[in-house]
Amino acid sequence: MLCARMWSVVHFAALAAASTLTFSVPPHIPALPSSATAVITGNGTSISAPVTRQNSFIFTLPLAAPADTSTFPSSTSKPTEYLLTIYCRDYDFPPYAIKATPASYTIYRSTRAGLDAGFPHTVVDTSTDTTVSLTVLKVREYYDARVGFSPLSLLKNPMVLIGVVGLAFVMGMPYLLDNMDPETKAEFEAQQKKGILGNAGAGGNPLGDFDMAGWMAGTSKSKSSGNDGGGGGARKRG
Amino acid sequence: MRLCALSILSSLVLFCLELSSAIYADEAYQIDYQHALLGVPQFYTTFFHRPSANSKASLLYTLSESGIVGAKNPKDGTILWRQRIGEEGQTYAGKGFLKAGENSNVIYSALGGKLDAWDAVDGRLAWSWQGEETVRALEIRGQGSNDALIVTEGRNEKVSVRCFSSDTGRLRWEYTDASGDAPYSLIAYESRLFYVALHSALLKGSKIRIHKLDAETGEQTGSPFTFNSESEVSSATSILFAGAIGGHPSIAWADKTLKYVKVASLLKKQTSTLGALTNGEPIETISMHPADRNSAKPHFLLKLTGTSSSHAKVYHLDANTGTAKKEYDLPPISGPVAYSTSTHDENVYFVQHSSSDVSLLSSISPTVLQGWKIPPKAGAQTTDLRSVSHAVAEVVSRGGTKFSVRSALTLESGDLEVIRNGESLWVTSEGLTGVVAAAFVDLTKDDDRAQDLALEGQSNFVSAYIHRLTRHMKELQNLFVWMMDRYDGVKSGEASLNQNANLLQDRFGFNKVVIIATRSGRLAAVSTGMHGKVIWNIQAVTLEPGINWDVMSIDAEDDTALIRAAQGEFLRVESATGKILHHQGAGLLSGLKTTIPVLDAQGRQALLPTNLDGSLGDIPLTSFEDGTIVVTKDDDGTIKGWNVAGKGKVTQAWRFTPFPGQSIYDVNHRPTHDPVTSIGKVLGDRNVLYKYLNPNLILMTCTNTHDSSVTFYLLDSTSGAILHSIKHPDVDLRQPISSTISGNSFAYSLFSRLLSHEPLQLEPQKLQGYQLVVSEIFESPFPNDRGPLNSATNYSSRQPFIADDEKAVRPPHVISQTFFIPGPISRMSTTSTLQGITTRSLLCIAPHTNSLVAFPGQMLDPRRPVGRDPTPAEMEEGLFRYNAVLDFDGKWTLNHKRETLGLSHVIAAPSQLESTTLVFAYGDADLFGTRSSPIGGFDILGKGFSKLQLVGTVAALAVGTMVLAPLVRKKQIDSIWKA
Repeated sequence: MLCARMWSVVHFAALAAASTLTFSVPPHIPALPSSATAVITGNGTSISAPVTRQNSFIFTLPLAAPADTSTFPSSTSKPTEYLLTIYCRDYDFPPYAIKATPASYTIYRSTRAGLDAGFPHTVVDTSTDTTVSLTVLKVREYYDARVGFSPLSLLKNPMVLIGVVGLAFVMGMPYLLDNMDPETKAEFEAQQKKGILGNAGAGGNPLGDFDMAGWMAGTSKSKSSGNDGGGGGARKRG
Repeated sequence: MRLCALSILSSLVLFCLELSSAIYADEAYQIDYQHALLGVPQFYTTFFHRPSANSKASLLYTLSESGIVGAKNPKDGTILWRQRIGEEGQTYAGKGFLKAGENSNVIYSALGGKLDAWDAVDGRLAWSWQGEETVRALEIRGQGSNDALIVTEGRNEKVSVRCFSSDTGRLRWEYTDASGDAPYSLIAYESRLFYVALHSALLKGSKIRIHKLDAETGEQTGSPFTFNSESEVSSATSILFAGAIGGHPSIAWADKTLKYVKVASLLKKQTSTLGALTNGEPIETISMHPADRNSAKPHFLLKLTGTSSSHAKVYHLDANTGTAKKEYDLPPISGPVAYSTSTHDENVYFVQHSSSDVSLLSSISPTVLQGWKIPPKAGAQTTDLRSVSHAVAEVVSRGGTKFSVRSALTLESGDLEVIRNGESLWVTSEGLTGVVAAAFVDLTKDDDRAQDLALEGQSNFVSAYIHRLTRHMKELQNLFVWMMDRYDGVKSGEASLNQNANLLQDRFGFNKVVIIATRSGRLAAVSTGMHGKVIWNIQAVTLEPGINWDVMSIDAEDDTALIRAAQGEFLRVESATGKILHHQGAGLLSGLKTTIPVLDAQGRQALLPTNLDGSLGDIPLTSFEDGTIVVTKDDDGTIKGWNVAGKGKVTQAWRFTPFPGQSIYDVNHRPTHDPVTSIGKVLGDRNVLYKYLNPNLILMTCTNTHDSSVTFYLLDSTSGAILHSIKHPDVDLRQPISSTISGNSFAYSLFSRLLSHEPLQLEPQKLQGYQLVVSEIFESPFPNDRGPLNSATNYSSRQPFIADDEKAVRPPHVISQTFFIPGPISRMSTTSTLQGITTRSLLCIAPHTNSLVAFPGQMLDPRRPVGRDPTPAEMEEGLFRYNAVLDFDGKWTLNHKRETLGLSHVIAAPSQLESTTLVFAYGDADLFGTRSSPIGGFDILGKGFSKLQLVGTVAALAVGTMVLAPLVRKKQIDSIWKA
């Protein structure tokens, strides 16, 4: 009986010392689905808290000590470290880590493995109820969008663009040349001749005055008369 | 140029990643199916309730035998929310409490030492209380306060009554009773509270003792009073009811022989004896159905079930005197029948459900107010799919003598059905919770055509010709149907996948049957082609309460499935109909532990008996191929390999004993269907790394609780040689450890602490988290090298190690990479395709995210370059830079937004298409199936293939040609003239 009373005294002492640690979801986030859970893992324990009506996760401090240390020896280093993960269907949350000492809890953004990721820390006094605000990374995406057929996307393709521009040049160039006024045309011709000669002189055209197109067509004359022959013919037609 | 090549390569890599098994929004819910289940509803914890004071429609709430609380929409049976309050894999029949106050938006559930208040609309937690005691009763304080009242029993028989405020869960008061009485119930009445306990009488039996408390302060008002029930009540099971009958607090109990029932009014302290219950035949069970609302009249119904029929009697309790008297009798009904009560203002209605009809009765007269016939169920082959076990009903008066009745029936199979005015709205297979084994079974092929052709080939010319003519005529008749089918397929855009919704194999091999066995002894078949429809569902074995069916495996054999259970029990059922062909009960042979199916020399399955002492029993009259080794696990923690080659001789080939302190946690072997297309891996520089392909690989997980370490051993099952081992220190052994092996790769997951030594830091970094380790096994670390096998002229499985020229033994080369993942993986498996060409995905059950994740193979290649960008050659292989953090990407989640609960196993089977794997996951609650294409559906036209676009393009090309042809011709003629 005495033993029982002792036990109940201890129990009530523990109850009195219990304070809560609340992780709240930012107010702009709508109600999380009821399956959302926050789990504190580490040091041989795993404590989970379902989402509350206030869109928060409530843990009672102190975080439970491992009942049987043989399965996972408590960390010899002080303070004890825990991971806090929020599992939610609709949103992604960053991982957090908690460094716990008997007097205080330090909560910080971490990498997945519990390393400090350098974001602001929150220090929580274990004797009072505290609320820590969580960050939401992004909305969780589940589906791949199927790329449907649209003419616009076809035009965005660089290969198609090159083709279209090339076609426009091929089709449009003769008309452009035809519609030039005679003076400009003459000037252009002179420029072209000079340019070609200049290029040939500078070694810009490796083929020199070899009629490549004619040779490929198999109609080249024994005496290659150069580019101006064919070109001139074309111009004469206009 | 180089830059360009790089960008093309990287885009190729991106393309590959894009290919990885992502789900398109239009495919979600189309290719996958789910039986979202709550478990078998319990009678006292199932009810209709309006989720908030201003809501018109009510929802169906239940706390099931699986320990899951949930709300269902009674219109279509969809689960609005559910929360697991019990442990996974446990049965909570007869345990737990679920209550909701009138006009309250909070649902209270209590199980074990936990009291939870859930939002009735969305299932989020309002507040929770956890004690070290066990909750024995739950009651709601009425009068508009809706506070939760619980009775808990702790150690040393300390009983406490606690009151929690409904909105915050603050403890209002606590009353302690240290008298040693067994707590039974709590009954709230106006501002008073009756705490009912069973007080052991001197000689035998129990007296019912009532403590009166003030509901506001928790203080005792007056001394406790007792009812002298010791001659009838021997245990709590004798009490039929303790609560308010139409707002009148009462207790009813039956005597041991079920001859009479006593009803006691707590307000008047008056006891009435209700006798003359029997209807000629002895009564087996009595159940009581009282008016459940405080506003209703204190009327109740006693259901008296005999051996062959059941009848009911309706009683009225006089609120002024506290005495009960019989109002009328209901005629006996043979077969199962269930009654439920519904109240409307002060009127009390009883609804009688039998398997053929529903009758609505008023509590004041035996005339049936309205009755409905239930049409016979199409899919119910067995009676337990039709007969009602218990029911809850909701009666709505439509003015005058018109009524509408909606009832939620729990069938004897455990399934839940909602009917409205006799018309079935929906049925969910709640009886199929707690699945312990499942297997894919191929359906019979539609081989009529082949038979016809064979017949024509064998018979003489004339008859063959006539046969052929009639066949063609028949086909012509079916042409129209076939064409309509095709048209529908074209219209829907999908290549007519689920068109032939019959039980025949389809062209793509998507139509299979999954046979499942539950721990409650049920067998069922789920069709993968018909969106997970349950084809048949039978109670295969009848088990004692609290005993689980220990099913070892389910194997398909032609058109039958062989179900093996512990102690030599086996069942053979027809896979298409569920007809039991053969059943051999458990324990027929003494000392038999189980049987192992082994393929004999003729390719047939033989069952090898395993004895309790771990040895293999006598081999049946079959012979096995040389080199057949059977591996068994003993109770003392050793693994033994047995050589069963030859006839009748069993010799122990090898034995594996783990180190002292280690115990075997899990054993995995390569899947039976595990084809490997290429013996090597072609590198970017066209060299080849040869895979270590040993069909006899076993991956063993050994845990050590002394130093909390886990060791993985890779064993050769023929020789027993250890090919590879890895030890992980500082592992949390209470977290799930899962592993799988397939082809030349294996993977495992665990939670551990480790130290990381970064190059530029003096102090090692302390890391902890869930890890996924993937490994690949090669013959040699060097490309184009086959290790010692290279020079070997022959090879023996018994000696997997071959000493090379320098007499050095070279074990296979293992490359591993570790990833940090966000949560535990409770079970893993790999996808399985017909030829094994498709890169395998790793299928993982992630219990915290309620999902089934398929990690693409490219992500888990252990050869991903670490700490540097990949070289162009590596890019060509599809390797990209290693990142230690691996997320459960939503796009890899096979169940996408649809949440699953309680999955614990996942199986995969190939379809006829190389790209696609059939996946089925099962466990304590849900059943989920889907088709997965690990690298995209490259051999099937998906919904993204637009037939309209194809036709449009062809038409546009034709028009373009027609328009351009005259122009071109004109130009050609012009050029000829000009030349």
